[in-house]
Amino acid sequence: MTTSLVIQAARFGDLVQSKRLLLSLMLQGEVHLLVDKNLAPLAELLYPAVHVYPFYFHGKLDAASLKHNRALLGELSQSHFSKIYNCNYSPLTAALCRLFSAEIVGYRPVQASQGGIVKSPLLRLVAQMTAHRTWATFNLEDVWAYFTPNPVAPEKVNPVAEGQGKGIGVVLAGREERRSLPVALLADILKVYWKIKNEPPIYLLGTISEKSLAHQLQRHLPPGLQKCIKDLSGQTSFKELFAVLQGLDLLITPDTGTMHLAAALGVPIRAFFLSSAWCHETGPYGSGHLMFQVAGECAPCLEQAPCTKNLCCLEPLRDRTLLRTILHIEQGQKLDSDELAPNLQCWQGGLDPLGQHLTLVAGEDRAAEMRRSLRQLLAAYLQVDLGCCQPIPSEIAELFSQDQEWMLPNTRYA
Amino acid sequence: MDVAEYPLRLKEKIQVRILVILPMYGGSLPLGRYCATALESLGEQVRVFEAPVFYSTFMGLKELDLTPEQLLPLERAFLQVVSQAIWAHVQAFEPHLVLAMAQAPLNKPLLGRLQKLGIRTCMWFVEDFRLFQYWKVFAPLYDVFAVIQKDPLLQELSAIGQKRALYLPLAADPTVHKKSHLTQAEQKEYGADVGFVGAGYPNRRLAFRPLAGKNFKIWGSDWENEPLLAQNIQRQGQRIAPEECVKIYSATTVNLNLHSSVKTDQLISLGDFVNPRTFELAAIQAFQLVDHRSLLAELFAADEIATFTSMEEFYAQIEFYLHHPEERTQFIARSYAKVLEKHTYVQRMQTLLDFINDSIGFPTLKAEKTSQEDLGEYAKMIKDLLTELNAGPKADFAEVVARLRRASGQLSELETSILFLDEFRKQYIQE
Repeated sequence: MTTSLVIQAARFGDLVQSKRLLLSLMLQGEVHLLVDKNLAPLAELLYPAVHVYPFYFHGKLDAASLKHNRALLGELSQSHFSKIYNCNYSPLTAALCRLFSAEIVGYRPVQASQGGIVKSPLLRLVAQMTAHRTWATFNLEDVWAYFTPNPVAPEKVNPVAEGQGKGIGVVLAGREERRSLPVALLADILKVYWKIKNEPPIYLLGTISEKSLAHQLQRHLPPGLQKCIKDLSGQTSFKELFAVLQGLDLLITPDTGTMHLAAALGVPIRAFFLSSAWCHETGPYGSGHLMFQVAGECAPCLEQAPCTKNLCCLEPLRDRTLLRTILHIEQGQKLDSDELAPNLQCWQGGLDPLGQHLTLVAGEDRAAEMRRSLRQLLAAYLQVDLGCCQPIPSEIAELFSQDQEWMLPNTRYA
Repeated sequence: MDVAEYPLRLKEKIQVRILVILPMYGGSLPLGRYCATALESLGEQVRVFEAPVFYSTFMGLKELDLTPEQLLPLERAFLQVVSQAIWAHVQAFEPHLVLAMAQAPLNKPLLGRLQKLGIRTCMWFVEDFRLFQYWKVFAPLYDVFAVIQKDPLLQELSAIGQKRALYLPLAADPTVHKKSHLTQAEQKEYGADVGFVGAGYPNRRLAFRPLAGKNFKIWGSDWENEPLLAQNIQRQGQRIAPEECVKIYSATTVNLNLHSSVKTDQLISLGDFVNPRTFELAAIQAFQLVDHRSLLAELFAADEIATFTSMEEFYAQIEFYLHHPEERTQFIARSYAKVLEKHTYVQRMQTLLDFINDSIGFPTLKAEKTSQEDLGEYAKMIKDLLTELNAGPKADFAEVVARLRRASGQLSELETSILFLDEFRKQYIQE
């Protein structure tokens, strides 16, 4: 029996995507989870068997929150954890890790003279792979899952996505405006799905700051559809969001925390990935989801960098072929090779023994060969048998044989 | 990092953060360490940039059997890395003052960046200005340039635009330079009637040859090809660590202190500056015979230190003092009292800080302008923590964080909270 502490100081979606790791650790024993205070209610809903500790990681710190944090650290220092799993490359969580004498897994604090935070070999490999994001094939949920050897089987993480007749959820926007669909486009897409699903109720989901988007969206919709709308923006606690999502036929969304939560509940996702969002990295986990990915020359871009291409990633989505393709896919029709506009792809979520694995449904994947090879080597590295053995391009092989990984003394974090 | 907003005088400021940049090697290296210790004992926050850790790498480049054309860009790139490492220290520590010892690897662009940020820069040029020339380029780039010589150097510094030059003679560190109580074995190993610790400069070689037949031990490097003194040179001319110097000085009856010179036509150079050995021997309570220096008289009175001005006097005095222990004892006592009273690195650093304070002032950074809040129930806890960290009662948040980062192993919840707060501050408040 082990007692694990997982530190997850990141956002809503990241907390949900820690599920495979948490489930894997639960099989080994007791699991404790340190999360931001605001996300603690969600953590308790998602992981009722886990002991959740709310901590003030972000926002404003006042005397009361400082006192709370210190008391909690005092409590944690008295606990005897077998291992600490630090999920974040963050000086904040690295500082907290100094409280423990137990082994730190993931991102480990070291002296500032050695760089402050040291990554495990797997995380160093992941960091190298991010230099080639177009080849990506390792979902973040799986990255965290492999903090522990032999994580729980991918199909045990989330239920197979299946609509249950309650209606359509619409996430109005992601955290970044650039990663969200413009209202007019979202309205067009919603109209298609509403028709396909025989005009069910529509639930608009978002924060209070997205209320105006909800109003704008409704102005783009026909009266019949408007009548089916329930605008829940700014009105749902995590518990209420949980309740709303459960049983939906599908959720239309950009890359958001709500998307991951819905996937965890088995709601079929219809996600739109553009700008810096990349479905191979943070797509909804599990089988039965569809992701439309804009994959132009500049994709995926960097979240922090301003767009110098006039948001060109919206163009393929605005092409009318998208709505036709949605219709064809949902009706199970055979797709033409030029079904989608150039630079737009449609991927279907699935699983293989390594984890989340996407299959191209429509569009062209110029990085297909690299992606396949990368996945093959990654699986070999993690000692997962994918049952394939094809020649590996040298660019991919080099990722797995960086000089510093074998030239330097093996006292590096292993 | 915030730019300095206004100069702050020491009387308004409780503690100055000082980054001491050591050279990679050489005579100014131990002096830099003494300065750092002295500044700490003055209650300032001190961080030392350990340039010596780069020395072996730098020397390694030279052993690669490369042509000068190949080596030069490598050395430039290497020094660029060193500069970046210093810059990283500056960013992390946010010093008010960067104190560079002579030969410290601070390049022009880095000095420019420091100046832009309002961080005060000072070099203590503990070298003979006639031997090294780089001060002519670098002195104007520092806010303050401290030297161990007076005119014409001070005039020349003024002429090239360095208006804040300070004459700051060398000194001793009584925590290092103190009387050593030797075992019999040590006395035997280190002891001699006459002794010298130092490098084999040409004037010393010639001056010491007539002493070859005596009970005379020479310690230190650069004594190769000196057959007449071969029996006197100890350990085949290996370098001697400062700690061992103390033992040698203590064990020697008459310590010779002949200032170095590359000239051989005049063995006693009658130069101006006084070398560190003069102060160190006095602090160790060891007897010394020192050659006359023009700046010596204002540092030690005639009855505090035994001097000579000619070679005849030099040899005669060796014999005299070897056979007059009472006279030796009197000189020892007086020079010891003087060095403690006037010539310690603590006093030198105080002089330097006062000079900087009076001439240009210290910067303060925006983050420091927060008011002290009532510590309430935490006061005792914080006091205990400061004691545990050996941080001193004046240590501020940054100093505590720096000490916690250096600490190894598991931290308490209070210590972890402080580290977390520092990261929180960097992530959410300063940006």
